Amino acid sequence: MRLGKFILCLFILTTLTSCKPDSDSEEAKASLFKSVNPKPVYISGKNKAPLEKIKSKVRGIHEIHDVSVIQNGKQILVAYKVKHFDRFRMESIEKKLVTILNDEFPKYEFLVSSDMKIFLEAIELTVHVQKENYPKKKAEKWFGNIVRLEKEQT
Amino acid sequence: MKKELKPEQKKYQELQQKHETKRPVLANCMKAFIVGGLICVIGQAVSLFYMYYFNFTEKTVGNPTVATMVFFSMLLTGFGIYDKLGQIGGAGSAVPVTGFGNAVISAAIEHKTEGFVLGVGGNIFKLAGAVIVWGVFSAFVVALIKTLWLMWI
Amino acid sequence: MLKGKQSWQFENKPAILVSSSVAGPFEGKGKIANEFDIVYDELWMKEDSFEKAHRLLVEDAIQTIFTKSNKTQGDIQFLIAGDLINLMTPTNFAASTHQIPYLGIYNACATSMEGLAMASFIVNSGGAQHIITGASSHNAAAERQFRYPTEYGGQKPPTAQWTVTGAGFGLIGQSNPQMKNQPVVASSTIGRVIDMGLTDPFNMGGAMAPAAAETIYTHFEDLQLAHDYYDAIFTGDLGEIGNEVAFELLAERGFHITREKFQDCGLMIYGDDQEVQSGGSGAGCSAFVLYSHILNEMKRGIYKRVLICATGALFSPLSFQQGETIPCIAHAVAIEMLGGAE
Repeated sequence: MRLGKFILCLFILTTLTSCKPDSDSEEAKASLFKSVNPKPVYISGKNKAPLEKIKSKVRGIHEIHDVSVIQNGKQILVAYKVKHFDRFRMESIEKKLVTILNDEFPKYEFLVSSDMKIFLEAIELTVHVQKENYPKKKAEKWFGNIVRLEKEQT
Repeated sequence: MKKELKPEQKKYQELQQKHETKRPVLANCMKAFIVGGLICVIGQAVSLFYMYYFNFTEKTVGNPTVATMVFFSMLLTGFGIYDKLGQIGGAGSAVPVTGFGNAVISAAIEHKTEGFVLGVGGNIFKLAGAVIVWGVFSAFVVALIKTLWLMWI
Repeated sequence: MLKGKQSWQFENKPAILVSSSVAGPFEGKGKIANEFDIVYDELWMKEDSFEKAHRLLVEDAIQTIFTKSNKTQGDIQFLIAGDLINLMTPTNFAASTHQIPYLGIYNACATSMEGLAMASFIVNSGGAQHIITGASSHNAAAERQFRYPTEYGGQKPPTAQWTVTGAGFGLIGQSNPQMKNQPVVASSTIGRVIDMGLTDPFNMGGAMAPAAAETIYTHFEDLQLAHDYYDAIFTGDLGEIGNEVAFELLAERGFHITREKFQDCGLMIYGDDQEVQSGGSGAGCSAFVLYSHILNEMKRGIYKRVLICATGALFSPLSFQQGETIPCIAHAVAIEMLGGAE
């Protein structure tokens, strides 16, 4: 009986672990454990924002060690990672970041997130967009999904 | 509440204390830190797993992670490993959610012989019930104080 | 007959004719494992509850006595036994199986010696030809009743004790004057309940030690024996701490024996590699050590006269949670080898 239970557990575990990964690029995997410093991405929109400048502004905050910036129309997604021991002050860092961005670039709508998952998705999107002839429609839809994911509660 | 001790009782208790083996508090703390820490590392790995392979954010990954950790502690309890871990880890294995799972599941296993309704159903929260009752109640009190405090300011 | 304040001396020398012991898996790996009659290799013992397994322990122990002594139910007048679980259902049910007129007794872990003293008294005064007496306990059943569920991962302090899984039973009857090397019950002392105000159920040895010291001291007073009269004195299940404390209490009252002679049944069962914190405990502890190891040692001639003082903590999970202290009791029984050199 014990053996039967054990085999059942093994079975469940193997089924769980053999799921097809949702994020599967090398960069995304690497970003789980270290800074990957991705290029800013511009998907669409009338006027391209000074993305490099935004990125360096964000990196100027010393608690933040990795940042991904993606623009889609008026919306700019800023996903960032906070240094481990500064994670206690997560909220105040976010507040600081939002004030800086809104003050310096008032024309855009910023979505900031320190969430690991949002960062992973941003990296993934970055990787795909940089490929040749990735359809713009698809990228826009993906961006929308990330925004929805970010707003999701519990 | 404590009854007044008679002098001979007091005298005996002093003598008894002299012989009583003390709990190795410092060593226990270290072990609790290591065991508790390891459990949390596993928990972190599980939540990264869910974030990486599924559509969960840091905000939403809590629920599936807790469920998985309780599932693990259920297996360990069922195979008779968790109580040994508890003897080593003490608070380190009792405080994380796996300890809660262990309290629920051990009671369920224990009372299976009394039937599923009155035995398992009636006793499953024998140990964990106190945690739920006082956890919910103290959360309520703290929330109440916070609300009043914010209204005051 | 009554001797002194609270002791009996048995001049007709009721003998322990046969004894039997049944042990659980953990005890079966201990120091005295090869002295048990039956050793089960798992706690369930193929029953579907721990309580039923406990009942099986008692049934097996009594059955072993029947086989060893070539006697049947009809030859035994009374069964005097007890255990720790819920109004003693395991022993009660076993008594129902074996259909011997039955007296159920409870003195927590002192039940074993209480039963032996009572059985000896009845046999001594001609109230019965043969009486079976003993006590038993089951680790998982007791844990469940007195502490937490078996699989619960609580941390036990070093003062905690391990409830033994086992049963020890003896057949008490008239001694045969012709026969050599018979263990007989010489005397016994019934203890008072002593409450030193301790409340920690994880330190029962410490709570029970004064009761043991009191009973042992009174035994020597009542029977006016020299302090070195016995080859060994065994306390029931005081564990390391309780044994140490009881020894010191006796020394304080001017009672002098050598340290090696003052042993504890709870410390004789398990090997050093077994994690039992302070030692074994439970109603079965003193019973199955006496009815296996100690009697065997006496038959081998290592001990001529021993005093066994079983201690019991008379509390319940309810009384403990209501903040009551732990009152304790101890009964002592002296066993001598008849037919040996005086």
